[in-house]
Amino acid sequence: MAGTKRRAAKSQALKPPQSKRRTKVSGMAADNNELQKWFSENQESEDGRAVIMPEGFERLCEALGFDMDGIEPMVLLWRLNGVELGTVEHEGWEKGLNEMGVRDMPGLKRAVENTIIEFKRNPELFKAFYRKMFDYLRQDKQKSVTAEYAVAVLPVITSNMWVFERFAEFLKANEDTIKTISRDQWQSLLALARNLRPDMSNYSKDDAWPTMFDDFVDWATA
Amino acid sequence: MSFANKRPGGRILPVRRLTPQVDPQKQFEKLATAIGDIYGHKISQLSYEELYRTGYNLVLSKNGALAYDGVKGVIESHLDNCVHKNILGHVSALRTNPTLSTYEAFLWSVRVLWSEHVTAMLVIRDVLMYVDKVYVKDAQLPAVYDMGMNVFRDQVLLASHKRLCVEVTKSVLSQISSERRGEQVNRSVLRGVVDMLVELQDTDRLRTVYETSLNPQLLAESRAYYQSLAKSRLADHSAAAYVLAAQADLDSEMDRVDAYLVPFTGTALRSVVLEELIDNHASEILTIDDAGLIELLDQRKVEVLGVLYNLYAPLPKALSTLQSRIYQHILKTGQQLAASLAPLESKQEGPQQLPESKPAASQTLTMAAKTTMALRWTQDLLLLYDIYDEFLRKSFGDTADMRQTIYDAFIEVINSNSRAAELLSLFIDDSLKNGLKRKSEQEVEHLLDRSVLMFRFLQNKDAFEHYYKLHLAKRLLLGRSLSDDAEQSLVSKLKVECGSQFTFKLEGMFKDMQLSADLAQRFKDIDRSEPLDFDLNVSVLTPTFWPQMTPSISEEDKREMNTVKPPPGPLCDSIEAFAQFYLQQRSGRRLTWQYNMGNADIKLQFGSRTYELNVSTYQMFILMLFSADDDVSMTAAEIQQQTHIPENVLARQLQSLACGKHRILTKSPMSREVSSTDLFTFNYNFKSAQYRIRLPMVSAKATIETEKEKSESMAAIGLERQYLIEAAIVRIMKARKQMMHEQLVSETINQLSARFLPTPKMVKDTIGRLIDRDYLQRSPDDLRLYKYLA
Repeated sequence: MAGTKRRAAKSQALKPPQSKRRTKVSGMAADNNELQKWFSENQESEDGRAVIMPEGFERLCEALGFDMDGIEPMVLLWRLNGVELGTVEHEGWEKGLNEMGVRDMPGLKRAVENTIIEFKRNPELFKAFYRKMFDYLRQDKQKSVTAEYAVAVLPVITSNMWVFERFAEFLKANEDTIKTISRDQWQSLLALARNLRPDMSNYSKDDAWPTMFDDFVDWATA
Repeated sequence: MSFANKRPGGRILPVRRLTPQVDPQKQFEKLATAIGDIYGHKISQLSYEELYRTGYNLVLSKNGALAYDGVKGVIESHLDNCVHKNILGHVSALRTNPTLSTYEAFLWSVRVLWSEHVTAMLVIRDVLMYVDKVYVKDAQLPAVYDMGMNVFRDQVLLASHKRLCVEVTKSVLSQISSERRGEQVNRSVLRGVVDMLVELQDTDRLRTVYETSLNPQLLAESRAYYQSLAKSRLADHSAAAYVLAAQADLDSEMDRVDAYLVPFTGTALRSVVLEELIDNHASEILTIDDAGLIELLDQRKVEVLGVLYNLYAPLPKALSTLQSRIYQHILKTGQQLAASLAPLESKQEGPQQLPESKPAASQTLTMAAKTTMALRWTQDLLLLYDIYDEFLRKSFGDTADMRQTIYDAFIEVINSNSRAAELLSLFIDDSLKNGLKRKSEQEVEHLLDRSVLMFRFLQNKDAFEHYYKLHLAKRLLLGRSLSDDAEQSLVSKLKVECGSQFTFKLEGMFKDMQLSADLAQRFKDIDRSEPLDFDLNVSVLTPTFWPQMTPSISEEDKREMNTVKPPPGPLCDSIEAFAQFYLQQRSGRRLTWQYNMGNADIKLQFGSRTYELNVSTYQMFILMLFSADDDVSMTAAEIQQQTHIPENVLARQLQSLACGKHRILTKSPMSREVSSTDLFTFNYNFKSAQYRIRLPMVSAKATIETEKEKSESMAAIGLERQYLIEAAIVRIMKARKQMMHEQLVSETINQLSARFLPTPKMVKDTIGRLIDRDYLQRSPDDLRLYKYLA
């Protein structure tokens, strides 16, 4: 998965907006828990709150042996109740770790990997993750996600499910006209993926799918 | 029969006691002989009373059977005799030489025997009345008369070795065949024979011999006859000939039924004829090469079509074939009309030129030519409708479903032309300005009614409103309508079609004009120290009613236009005065002068010559700049500064004044292009043959839209539609709180269909937008269910 453009887009996404200030703060009260220790070593202060910022988050992923291009970092972010891409607050961190019941790096790594395995068996779980990803990908004030991000991220988080791959191709082919994906389109895409036959023969324009999908099916079956 | 023995007073004799000495056999002999006499027409020699008494005695002496069976036997042998004597001869003649006359002779002989038998049986019945009353009842036998009928049937017709029934049937059918071929037959014989068959009950006692033997064969033969007739006719007849022949056949069959057959045969025969001649070949008849339905329609053969329709109408399948072919033909004709419009759609356009200047020698059409073409389309469409309306009334019996077929076809034709809304409005516009001249009141009404009918067929009614407002505005402001009554009449017809919401704005426009006229009058009537030497006519327009008349002008230019002021002088003062006058009457309002939309009649003096010119208001302002001095010359830039008319608008006004057919100003350089340094002076050498001249700027001739204007219109209409769809969806969801996708789409389309037909895609798009804006959301459980978010 060495898509350089994808990687570029992603790391672009993971970079915080310029205006935020960050200062390294050390020496917060720490547990003897390995992970808490890690947090306090890597945290920064943001408007008075203790957070892990994208660079820190990237280090965490490296420590866990996660490929930044893969799905693991995003699942990790989600399980840690991240607030934005690459940004985790202490509260969310604590809560997430408790939910996962882990105290050290290997445990954390396992928990993430198990979650990914669990996605296959538990569609509701995946759905929750998938939906949250939309919010992570939004640029705070925007209501929608850019098509560019969608193209980069969709195949990854869905482990290359064929519908999402195809849809990403569609977005790429129409990058001049399609600039954003709305929340409704994002969410409906998952339902479509679970529903659509490989030859798309069971798609109907009279159904309640967003009109972009009509164009998608036309394009894919042309 | 003599009643000589009957005593006067009519007293019935007392019953005589039967004595064993009276021999029943002898009694019976009496009867038997009498019957022979009855048949032998020797009735007058008989005594009714005596015979009656004989029968009576026999019954009383318990010899009823003797009487009954004996009589039966007598009748049997008598009939048998007669058959041999009178009938069989004809049968053999028939078999050796089957001609019209041998058939007839045979039938005649049967008929004679029959009527004699009936006559005799009536007498016999009377004679044996007591037998009927008592014996028959007890023995449960058929009454005497009926017995006689049965005997006739069995002895004469059904006796198997003689096969007379078969021969009778054959003969009747052969007579009918001959008659069909045009030969004369003896109808009264046939009538008699048929009566006989109808009277005789068949052995099953449920139906008559007519029903069991003649009727089915008649129908079967008729079917075969018409089947082959159809085939042979289809080979060489035109549809017209075929249909007329079929009608003639039908008529003659019915005539035959009336003459000597039975009514229920008529109904069955009618079905057979229609089925074999028409129903089985419904489509073939219509598609006969070069002589089928299409030719009948094109050649307007109203009567033949009437005959055809009447034949097809009772046959559901055939009728629907007819309807669908008519529908198709109307569509095809419509397509040809539309094809003639193809040059309009060419992307190239004639250069934007003033209509009266010389057309450039280019291949493309001028706007004027295109407009004429467009008008022709509507005219042709109306003429086509007139043709089919005539068919409907005169050939198709004005029935509802034929009307619907024609309507459906025209709906399709109109709506397959994407510019239909514009063209229809253009046509009405032209009619109200020119076309109504020299038309009687009836013709005018007819024209308007037809136009409104086409409007009913039109799907994009909102587009029509858009164009109609534009054209109406021009007509009203430039005073070009021929008849105010016609205008009002049309609007009220539209109101009937579409409701008042549709015509609300149009009526507003009329009201504005009326009020403006009133105001103008009152303004004129004001006491003045110095009366004005010109007429000021101000039209005060309420913006909501009036269309955007200058959509192609930029916002910037629009703002600049609002700063245009008339040059100082009596005109300017008068305008100010009017504004004041108006605001006095209606305080709290704001007047924005739209000088770009007005026109003026002015008198200009060129040396010794005076002309009356009709120019735009802007042009008047421009010309006034030159009136101060004799030698004024100004550059375009200077004119622009003084008048504040935006540059590109000014350029056109100047072109019209200096570069067209009538050069009021001279321009140097003489080029058509106007640049800011061009110099303009008054053209004292201007000459014209006409006294009254109208400059083309003010042309009230509505033309078909240019490509640019069209896309602007489409955009405006499209925007309005989006808004309408949104409003409809919100309205529906607000009321119902939640709804399934399919239902929402169809409700929405339904609600809007009176104005235009949204596609499901448009509705889906709008739903998507409303979800984004948090008016709606999908239900988490079912993606197809939408919920209203308050």
